[in-house]
Order: sequence, then structure tokens, then C-alpha cells
Amino acid sequence: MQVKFPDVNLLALWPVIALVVTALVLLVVVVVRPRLEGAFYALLTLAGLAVALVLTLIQAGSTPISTFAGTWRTDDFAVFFTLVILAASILAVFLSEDWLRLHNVGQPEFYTVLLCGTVGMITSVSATDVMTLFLGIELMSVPTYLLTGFAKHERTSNEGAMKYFLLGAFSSAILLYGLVWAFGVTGSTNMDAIARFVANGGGESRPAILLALLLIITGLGFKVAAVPFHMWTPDAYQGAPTVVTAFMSVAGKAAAFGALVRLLTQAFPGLSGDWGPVLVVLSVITMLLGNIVAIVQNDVKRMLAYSAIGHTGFMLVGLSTWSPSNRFGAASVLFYAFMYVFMNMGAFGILAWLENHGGGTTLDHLDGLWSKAPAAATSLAVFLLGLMGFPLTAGLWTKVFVFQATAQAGYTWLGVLMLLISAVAAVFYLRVVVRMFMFEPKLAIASPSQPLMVIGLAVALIGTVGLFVLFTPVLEFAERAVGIGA
Amino acid sequence: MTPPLEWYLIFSAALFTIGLVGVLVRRHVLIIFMSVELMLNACNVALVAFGRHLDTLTGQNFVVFVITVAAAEAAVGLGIILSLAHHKDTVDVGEMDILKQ
Amino acid sequence: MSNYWPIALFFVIVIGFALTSLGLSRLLAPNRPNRVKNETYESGIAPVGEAQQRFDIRYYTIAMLFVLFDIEAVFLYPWAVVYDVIGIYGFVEMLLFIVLLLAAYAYAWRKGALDLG
Repeated sequence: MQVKFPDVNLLALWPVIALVVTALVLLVVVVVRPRLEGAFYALLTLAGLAVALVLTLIQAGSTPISTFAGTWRTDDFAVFFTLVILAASILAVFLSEDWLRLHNVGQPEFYTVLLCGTVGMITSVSATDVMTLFLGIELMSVPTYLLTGFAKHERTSNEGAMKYFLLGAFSSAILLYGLVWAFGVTGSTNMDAIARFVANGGGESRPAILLALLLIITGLGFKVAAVPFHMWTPDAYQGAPTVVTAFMSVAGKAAAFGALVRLLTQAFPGLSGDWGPVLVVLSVITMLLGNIVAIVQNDVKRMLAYSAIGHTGFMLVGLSTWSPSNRFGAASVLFYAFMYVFMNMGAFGILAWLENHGGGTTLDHLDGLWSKAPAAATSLAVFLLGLMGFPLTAGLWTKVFVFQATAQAGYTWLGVLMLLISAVAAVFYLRVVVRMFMFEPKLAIASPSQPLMVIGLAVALIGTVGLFVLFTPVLEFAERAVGIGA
Repeated sequence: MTPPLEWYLIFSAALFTIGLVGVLVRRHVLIIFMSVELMLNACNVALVAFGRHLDTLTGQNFVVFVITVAAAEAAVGLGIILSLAHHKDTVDVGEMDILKQ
Repeated sequence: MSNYWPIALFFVIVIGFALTSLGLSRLLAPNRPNRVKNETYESGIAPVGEAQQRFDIRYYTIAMLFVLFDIEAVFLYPWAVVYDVIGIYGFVEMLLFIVLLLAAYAYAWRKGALDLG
């Protein structure tokens, strides 16, 4: 029998190897020394993530590596999303240590699962083969189901995990069926080969290709929480431990968007005239529903869950304007995902901090936060203004560049609609700010010292404000990643 | 005599549809989960049929990964179901309502 | 396809023989049950309770672990088929895979997931 041995270039994999080794070490440490106190596990995890981050930064400068018989490609696109995902993971570790300690939840297990999820996310943005892409998506999803249910003594957490799991597995099956059809019709699982096949519209197998495309968009639509595939989002986001919500709303969404952008622009660029309009419709209803339902929420955590749906809509606007000759839409999505890390992790981080202090996440709990914890109130205000797209925060540029993408592609009406909806969204963001600064405090909070969490929140704050000034390198990197000026 | 590709694809589509409808109309968590597994197996049937038709091992290769992924999903899913059953003596999704306001 | 006819014939004969002998014994043999005759055969243990009882939840953990490790073995078969082609490199790769599984196994053991007591 003739076996073709694939070319293997481990250089492309070093960040992932670092993460897997860290996860393995965590497991082995539990076996060998079951009772380790303090922040040991968190620091070990952070060390592993830091090594992976450095290795990724080294990759950022070098030439793209395509390896494992063309199933994996470490190019600027993969590196960009890997950086986003690693940043989110690092922030998640900073923010979660206190929650894990206060609730006496298994720390090494949490970090192991988190690292596995991170590996899955990196895989799904680096894959150039639909088989690898599916494995990455699953390796991302399964750990996030677990993380959602990690507070296993709380029923909300269990229930959120259950709903997330059922709909997540459902959407994975739909995505898989789409990928199977793409493979069956085009005869290859390689994205470039699929692209060559569909370059002329697909010929007489066009209906089958469109079916595959529809299934793929539906499956990944679930993962990015686009309406009408969003029904798991509010429950999973509200039920999950707050730090987990932060992690999956940022990293999980970034990875799913990475996979979506990669698939649509690399495997199906010839059909952008077909999937573009579909995404336009999805983005409009996603923006509308997410931002309007958020207004009536009383729980800030659930409000942010709906706001996360709304942000998915904004990002879809950017992607829907993509065409082979006008790639800026994809760059705006990448840019958005990068800025979103700091704003959203920060906002959820403050909520997690409040919960650790014996508070809750309803609007009543936030009343008069300014007079009791001015730093926390100010930070939350900055994060919310960032999510709103207010000047002096990185959030402004996310909206500006998505708008620019719509204008360049001749979809100006869509951009205007997006800005109008952003203005509506200001209602619920500003309401929180008003209640924090103008209302009388109702509830007392304790103040245990939480050094790691403070560091994480500070990083998020610096990112949100600092990137308002220093956004240019990020934008240039994002443009390079999607092939502008290459 | 080998049945033509279409037969397998129709069979796979039927399985997939049964699974899809099962997820949408059934209320019992385990049944929903079994329906999802049915959808995954429909994908496997299609993969093997396509692989055979295209005369490539990629299809069967893919199936091996899908099977392992399904097993991992099953383990995690059953764990979550068990954990929930500890809290409440029901696994009916209609009764999971505390997150709805 | 014609090569398979003997197998089909074989199945027909087997099923026919089984049905015929069962039917004949039903028709010909006397049927007089009593309490002693209905007891468990020889040294068998008398059954207790219903057959459809609920199993202890601990068995599920074992079952889940079994499914996981059992399914991972699926990768060993294609590996074994091409082993002489991929040589030492493939051996090391599989070794790494097994090490990952072993770490998980050690963890499950340590956490008492395998204890039934």
C-alpha cells in the first residue's frame, strides 16, 4: 500500500504545544501532589499562556507556514486571532482565580479545561481544511460546555450548561453536515481546493454547494450567537460563572468568527455574492434583537449577554460587505474582535468582582457603586462606554471601521442603520452608568483583597483606553491578515 | 451490484432530518441528545458514501474523527445531565425555566 | 454478488432449522409447569426485585470513562495498519497520544472515579 507521509513543520505548532504541555502538567500535578494551596495553578497556567503568547509573537514576524499536508496554516490571519484568543485566556485566568478560590472549585481542572478550549480555538482559526476546522470547533465547544456548568452546586449554572450543550451539539451536527456536503461535492476537504471548485459558481452542482454553505452559516451562526440561532446565548451567559461568560463571549466568539471568516473568504470567495446578502439579513435582525431586548433587562449580566448578541450583529455587518476585490470588511471584523476582548472582559470582570464581594449583578446592586467603590464604578463606566462606541475608548474605532467597510462596499444604508442601533444601545449602557453614579447605594459590599483580579482589570482598562490612541498597528495587522496590500 | 451514491445520500438525508425534527419537537434531554447523535451518524453515512464515490480515504478518515468527537461530546453531555439530575428529578427541558424571567 | 448466495442460503437453513425444531418441541412435548420446575436452574441465585431497576449513579462515571477510552482505541487500528510504513516517527507520535491518555487515566484514578465501593 502506498502511504503518503505528510510534511510536518512543528514550528507552526509551538504555541499550541506549549498550551497542551501546560494542561498536561496541571493534570499530573494533581495526581502527584493533590493538595497545593494558593495561586500556584493560576500562575502555572499564566506561565504556559505567556510562553504561548511569546511564541505567537515570534510567528507574527515570520513567513506563513502551511503544514500537515495543507490542513494547518500559521499565517497572519491565524496569528492575529491566536493573539486575540490568548489575550482573552490570559485575562480569564487573572479574573477567575478569586472566584475559584472563594467557591472552592477545582482550580487545576478549571485551568486544564480552559487551556483545552484555548487550543481548540487556535485550531479553528488556523485550520485550512474543513476536517481540522471541525475538530477545532468541537475542541473549543466541549470545554466551554464544561466551563459553563463549572459551578455545579448552582442550578442556574447546570441549566445554562445543559441548554448550551444541547444547542451547541445540535449546531455542530448542522455545521458538520454542511462540511460533509462541501467535501462530497468538491471532492476535497482542503479549503483552497474547494475555492478552486466553486470559483466559477459551482457549475451544475451549484444547488448542493449552496445547501452546504447554508448549513455551514447556520452551524457557525449558532456559535457566534447570531439571531435566529441565539436562543442558547442569554441562558448560557447568565447561568455560567461570570468569568466563564467573559471568556466565552470574547474568545469563543472570536474563534467562531475566525472560522467563519476563514471559511467564507478562503473556501467560498467565489460565492460572496450569495453569502453576502444572507449575512446582511442576519446582521440586521441580530443587531436589532440583541440591542432592543437588552433594554428591558434588569440583570446587568443578562443585559450584557444580549449586548453580546448585538455586537455579533455589528461584526456580521463588517463581514457581509466582503468581496474578493474589497476585503476591508473582514479586516474590520478582526479589528472589532481585538478591541472587544478588553472592553467585554473588563465589563464582565467588574461584575465578577462584585459577585465575589457578596453583591449581585442586578441594577439594584449597582446603585451608587461610585460612593462605595469609585475605582470599580469608573472602570465599569469606561468598559460600558467602550462597548457603546464612545470616543476616548477603543470602542469608537470598532464602529468607525465597520461603517467605513459598509461605505466602501456601497452598503451605506447598512452602516447608517448600524449607527442608529448603536445610539439605541446607548440607552441601556448609560442607564447602568447613571445608576452607579447618581443613585443612593442600597447594598453593602465586603472587600477582600484580590490582587490577580485587580491586575486583570487594570490590563483590560489600559487596553480599552490605550488602544484608542494606538489603534493603527492593530488595524494594519488586521488588514495584512486578510490580504490587503499583500 | 453496488447501490448508487444517491441512495446513500437519501438515506443520510432522511437520518439527518429525523434527528433534526427530533431535536426540535422532543422535550426529553436524553431523546434530544440521541437525535443529535443521529444527525452525526447521518453525516458519517454521507462521508463514507462520498469517500467511496470519490475513491478517496478522506471520507473514512473524517468518520474516525467524528466518532471520537461524538464520544467526547457524549461523555461531557451525560456528565452535565447527571449533574442537573442531582438538583432536580427531571430531565425535561420544558421544566428548565429558572433562567427565563 | 453471486458469490454471496451460499451465505444467504446458509442463513435461510439456520433460521429454518431453529424455527422448525422450536415449533416441533412446542407441538410434541408435554407442557406441565409447576413451582419447583420454574425455579432457577441448579445453583442459580433466586432473582430479587424487578429487572428494570435504576442503577447506581456511580456506574455512569465508569461507563463514560469506558466509552472515552474505548473510542480512543479507534486511532490505533489505522495506525497499526500502516505501522511498517510510518516507522519510528509514527511510533513516537502514537506514544505521545498514549501518554496523553495515560495522564487522563491517572487523573481519573487518583480522583476516585474508578472506585465502586
